[in-house]
Amino acid sequence: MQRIVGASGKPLSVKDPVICAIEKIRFKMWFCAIADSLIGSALLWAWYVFIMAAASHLVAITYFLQKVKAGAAVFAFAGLCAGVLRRPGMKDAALVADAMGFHDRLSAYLECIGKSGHVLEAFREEVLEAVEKFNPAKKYRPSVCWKRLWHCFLILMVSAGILLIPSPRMEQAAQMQSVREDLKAEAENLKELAERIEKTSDDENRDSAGQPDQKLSRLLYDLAEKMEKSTSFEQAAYDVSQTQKKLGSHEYGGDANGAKGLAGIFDGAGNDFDEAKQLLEQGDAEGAARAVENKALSRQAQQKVLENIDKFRGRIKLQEGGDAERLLEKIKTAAEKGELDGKLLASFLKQFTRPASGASQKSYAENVETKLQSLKERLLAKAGSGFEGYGDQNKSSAFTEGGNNEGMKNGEPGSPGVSSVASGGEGMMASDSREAVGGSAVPERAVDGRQGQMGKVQKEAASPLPDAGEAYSEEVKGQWQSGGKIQEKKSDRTIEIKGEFTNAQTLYRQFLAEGMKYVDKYEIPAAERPLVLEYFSRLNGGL
Amino acid sequence: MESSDVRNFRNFFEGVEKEVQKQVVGQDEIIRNILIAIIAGGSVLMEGAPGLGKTVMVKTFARVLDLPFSRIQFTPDLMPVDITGTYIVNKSESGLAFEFQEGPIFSSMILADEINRATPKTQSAMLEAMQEKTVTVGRNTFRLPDPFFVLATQNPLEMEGTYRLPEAQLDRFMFKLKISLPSEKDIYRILDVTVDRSEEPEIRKLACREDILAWQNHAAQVPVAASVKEKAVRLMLETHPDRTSLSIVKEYVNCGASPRGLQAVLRGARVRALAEGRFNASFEDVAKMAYPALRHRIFLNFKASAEKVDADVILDEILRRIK
Repeated sequence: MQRIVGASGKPLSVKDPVICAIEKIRFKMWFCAIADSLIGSALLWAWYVFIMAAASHLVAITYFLQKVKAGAAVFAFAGLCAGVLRRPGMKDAALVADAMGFHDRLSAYLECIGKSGHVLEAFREEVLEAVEKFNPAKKYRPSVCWKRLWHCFLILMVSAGILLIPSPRMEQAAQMQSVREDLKAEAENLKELAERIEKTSDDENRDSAGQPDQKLSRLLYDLAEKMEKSTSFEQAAYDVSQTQKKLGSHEYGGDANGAKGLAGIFDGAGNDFDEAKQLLEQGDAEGAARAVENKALSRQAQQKVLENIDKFRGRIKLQEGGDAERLLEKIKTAAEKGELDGKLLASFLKQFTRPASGASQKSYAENVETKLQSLKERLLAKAGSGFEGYGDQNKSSAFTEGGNNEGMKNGEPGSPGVSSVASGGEGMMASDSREAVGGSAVPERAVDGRQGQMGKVQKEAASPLPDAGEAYSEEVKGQWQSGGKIQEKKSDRTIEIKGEFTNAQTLYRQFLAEGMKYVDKYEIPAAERPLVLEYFSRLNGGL
Repeated sequence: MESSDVRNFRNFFEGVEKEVQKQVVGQDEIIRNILIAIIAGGSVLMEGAPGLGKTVMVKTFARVLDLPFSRIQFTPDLMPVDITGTYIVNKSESGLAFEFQEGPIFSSMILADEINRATPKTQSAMLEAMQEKTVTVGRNTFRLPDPFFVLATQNPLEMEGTYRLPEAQLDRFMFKLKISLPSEKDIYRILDVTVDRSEEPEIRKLACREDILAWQNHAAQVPVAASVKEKAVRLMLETHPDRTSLSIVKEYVNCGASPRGLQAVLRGARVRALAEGRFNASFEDVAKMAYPALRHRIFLNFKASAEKVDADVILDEILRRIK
């Protein structure tokens, strides 16, 4: 800090009226600078709002108000900082005072501090007299730039006007925002669940070494993170589905689904194995092992088991190089030689029996999976109302419902990523929807004569096809079917076994392949060809 | 001199002005600027048509300020020695000896009448005197009396048989003042003073050599704020076509003012502030002094002459920008 001394070398009194006046002006100028900066930042913020408002008609901007509020806070803070940093110096204040008719006296006064001479003494006396007569600090009035404020107000008004114009993008943004809110809430729930799992001291959440198992909670955290970033229910549902897959592949020493998958190996093996079959279908591999342990297999039964093993090999999930795989090979070899007995089968089935601690782990995982399943269903149900399908078709909602709602217009097979579990083995229901897969009541909009029965799609070889150019590319002409009633029947197997997953995928691929064949085979106007291709590629989320 | 005496400067200044105005009517601004130049220790070049009272004005100043006065009438055949003086052989008791005979330049106030009529060689004899305030003859250098200033006149009309002052010599003059025809009212007053009166007005001596030196010393102490200096420097730089963005300067100016011109502006501004009763030089003083101090230091091109654009017009534009 500069030490202000007088002509005699002594420090000048703090009450030196000239210095005081300059100081006061300086503070006033500083406040004025802060106000000026704030007004400037308000103007910038107004432009920001204007640009956002204009852009909201071009792109979907979610959390518009929050962004505007955050922008206001940022601009206000920046303006305040800029104003604070723009603290004027004494010279600046002196110059402002000089402009009030002091003829550069005050700035010269500051520079003459510490100097002496007859002229300078006379000068100081003159300046003191002048300041006493006309105190610049009192007369100085900081000016606020009203013009800028008006600009700011006008821009905000225009921005508000722009925002009042309805626009599909704004509606889309509102929907997206709603989706994100929901997803965040779901993610929070997941995090809570993960936390509970982490904190639990129960043996259920301990691995084989007795340590807390963090794999499950990590999976849930990852999923929550993905869901927070996600902007669509479908994407979130897909993420949930992926997590479910990971959860399914999680080794807990035994696998109930794997056990269920084994039930098929006793098909046609005879009544002796019905009990084992039922137990396997219930996931009780241990009971099944006990049931077959003392059973003897006829040559025919051995051949049937061998056939079934080959048939259901894809459903039986085995660790590569594991005991179960080796035993399976052993069973196959024994069956080929006719030496297969109940003990060998029992030892194989026991591989799907979880140990005590693993059993509780599994039930824990199953519990989580149940929650994930219900979460996914919720998400897909929401996607039905919030996601617009191609060509304004709300197809995802139908899919979410498993296509079993009567009168659902848009029932179509779901994407393999989400449909496999979403449909929960419900399979394809026939719908009286005009755009449903099968059972269409209106021929020109139905999908080529699929019979919507029990999860099966049968493409008729001679399905009528539309005239090129007349129909929309996605509206494939189908066969008229009366009724369109829902034929709801739960399969005793498809609902239970995981193999249904494969069927849904196959169904989807078939449908996609048929669509592509249509695209390749028929003349589609060049302008609409990409649209058709996109339709089939994006069908059910493009999965 | 005490600070209370410093406060009397304005009275002194106005007293001198009034005294000169008794004799010279209608040239108040010129009188004021000449007095400023005298206090600031600078020389003045006065340009005006014959009969406007240039010579009378200088003579009156010499009388009021009670300073040794010399008048040199410049003619084409005037030789430098006629101004500076020369060595002459003088017979004394010890025998013949060379003795320096001082020329008319050895005076405090020199009236160089019609300076542009002398040859460049003779004009150049004034250079050293005006800048260094010394005269060198042969191997000897003689100091001129203090205060020393030259009040030169030149006639812009009769260009035949004249020698335009070189830029170097023009730069030695602190001010160049343009003496214009007085107003009609002032012309009547001139008639009253000069024709109708039987006796010349009584001119009082208001100061002496020492007073002038003291005032010169005080004027040098007048503070100039840094902001004012900054503007003054900008003012000088703006006169240079390669240092300005002003189109008028780029279009009409060949060469701008020198730092010596800037010194002249500030020196004049200090004295003007004192004359106005202030003890610091403001930019207003700088602006006022810019015209007499810079107009002969801004060298205009042929286009400016053809379009009758003079240095004052250029300075108007520059000052408008700086303000």
